[in-house]
Amino acid sequence: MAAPKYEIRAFRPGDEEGILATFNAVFGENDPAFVPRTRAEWDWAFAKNPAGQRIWVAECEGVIAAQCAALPYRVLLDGKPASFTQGVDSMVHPEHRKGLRRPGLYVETAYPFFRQFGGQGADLLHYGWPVEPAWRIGRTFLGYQIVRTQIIHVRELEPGARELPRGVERVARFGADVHALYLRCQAQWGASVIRDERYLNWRFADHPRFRYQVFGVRGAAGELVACAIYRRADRPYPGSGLIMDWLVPEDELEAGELLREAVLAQARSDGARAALVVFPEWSRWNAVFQEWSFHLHSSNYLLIGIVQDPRYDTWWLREHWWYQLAELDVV
Amino acid sequence: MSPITVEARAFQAGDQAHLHAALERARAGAGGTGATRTLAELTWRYAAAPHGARVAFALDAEGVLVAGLAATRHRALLEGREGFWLELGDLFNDFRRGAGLARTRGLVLAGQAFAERFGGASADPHPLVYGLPNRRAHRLGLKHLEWEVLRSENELVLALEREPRRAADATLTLQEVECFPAEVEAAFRAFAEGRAAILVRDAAYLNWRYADRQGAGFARVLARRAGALVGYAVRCDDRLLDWVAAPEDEGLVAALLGWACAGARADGHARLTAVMPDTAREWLAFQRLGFRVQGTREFLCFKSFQRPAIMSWLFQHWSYTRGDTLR
Repeated sequence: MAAPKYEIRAFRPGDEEGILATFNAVFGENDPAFVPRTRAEWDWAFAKNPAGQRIWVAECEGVIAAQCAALPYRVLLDGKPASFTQGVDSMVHPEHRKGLRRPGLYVETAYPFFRQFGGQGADLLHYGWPVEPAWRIGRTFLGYQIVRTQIIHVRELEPGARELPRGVERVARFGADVHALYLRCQAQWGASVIRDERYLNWRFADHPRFRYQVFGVRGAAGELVACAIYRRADRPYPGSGLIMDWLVPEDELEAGELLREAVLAQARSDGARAALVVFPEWSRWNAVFQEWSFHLHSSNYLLIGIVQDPRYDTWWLREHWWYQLAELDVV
Repeated sequence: MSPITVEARAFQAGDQAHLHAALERARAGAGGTGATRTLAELTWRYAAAPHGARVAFALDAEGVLVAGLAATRHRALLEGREGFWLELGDLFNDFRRGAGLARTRGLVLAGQAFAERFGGASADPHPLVYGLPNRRAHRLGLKHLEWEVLRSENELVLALEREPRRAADATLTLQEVECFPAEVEAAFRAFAEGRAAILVRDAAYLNWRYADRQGAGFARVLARRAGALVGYAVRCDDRLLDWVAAPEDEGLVAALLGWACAGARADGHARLTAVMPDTAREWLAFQRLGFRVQGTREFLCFKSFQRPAIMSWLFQHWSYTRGDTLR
């Protein structure tokens, strides 16, 4: 039998349904709880992302046999605009896997992806939280390096209030004032995804599957001075109340306390067993949350990166990159 | 391209002088950055280690040492079996030699020879090499020698003003000592039950690590119950470097921490720090005692030559303290 012929190429309009079919075949394999991804969800992630689209595929006789894809994010890096990408949906169709073939179809699809999108002046960092087999392939063939072995702030939920504290409001959609809040926060950060109205509404308010709760605290003039985004989830642990994003200036401790209480109240109402959040260890909030009875737990999550600019490395990212669960697509 | 000769062998008397000179050349080639090593430190680290050391040296046509690796050999337990692990102390390359890719050829050849000579399938096998590299060695090791990161290291920090107070365990006596007695290994063996990967804490190792090193300023304490040695701790400045204390023996843990806090306070420090894996049983227990987690600039790195010592397994099962990687 002749070996299959693959066309490895950038995404073209019309690939959407083929990518979806392969995605649902790959990620639904051996997972009875898998809920197939819809076209609306694909469109949200790859067609409506305000930072653009990054997809390469391997096609074989009309089937999307493999994909290397990422979600791009606009970032501020040392105060200047740049872009990072999060690797997502790495896959090879079950009928196109050949265990002993090295480097394998995924890697062959990834090489031109990184040639197009990597390198100086392009996406500075490609990051992800891969499972171990993907980590091993990426380390061997694509230059993955560990930025951080992730630890997670966890607070077991005790009985308590289920109503939002006074001074905290629910925010349905972000307005322009959130960018000013972000700029205030990012003065402490060397690199961060730009949290503006466009990004945050896409990431949270417009998400087609997950429902997020946004809590805000406003100042005397009605401006947003702090906000926290929350979601009840069963990842990474069953019964998690996830703080997805914590946009609170370090000197707004009182607003932080109000938002903490709002998150805990919502988590209790949702029947969550624990509240979870991640912070870079250098952030003041790492210490503050420990004072707020959050303990740091180990996890199996590896934050990996391919740093595509020689002026930066994993050491720098570990010490300067502010990220949250918001930057992890699966939650 | 000039010829490179590689020697991969046991550390020999006199190697420390060549190594010292090579490290200085490599440091100068890196613009004088990085910590210096003294000859006495290299003698202690490699020549005086209880189970010796292993090196791979790359020499140029004139016999000048231009790149290499040096590692101390330690007894270790891996799933109940005893063997030897290598703690990499020095990884160096003189970047003034050669140009382009040739600049790292010596290091690559030395690294390959080191892995072949001392790896899992060799006549002198070691399942694991590990170390806590600086930024330059980290880059070299990952790029050229197939090293892996095991953990971005964090430390537990206790503000001494928050030291937990509890009633003393009257059954325990603490004794500061100059060196460790042979019976310490029995306490270690009890502590190591259920710990699948750990360096063996015998008297030879502990005395080499914490008594024989010149000018290091270690304080050592033994804990006894009814005369039997049940635990120990080692402190230097504000760092709790090593301990053996079953986490469920709360009296013992409290006594050793109390000793370490008192010593740190007497030395003028406001805090006590400790390093351990975030998977250790003590990790959450120490947080409940008031320790807080802070980041460090350290990445614990390794190269594995034998299953089960792959990353995910080691991450879960290797028990270590800051002393295991003390520079």
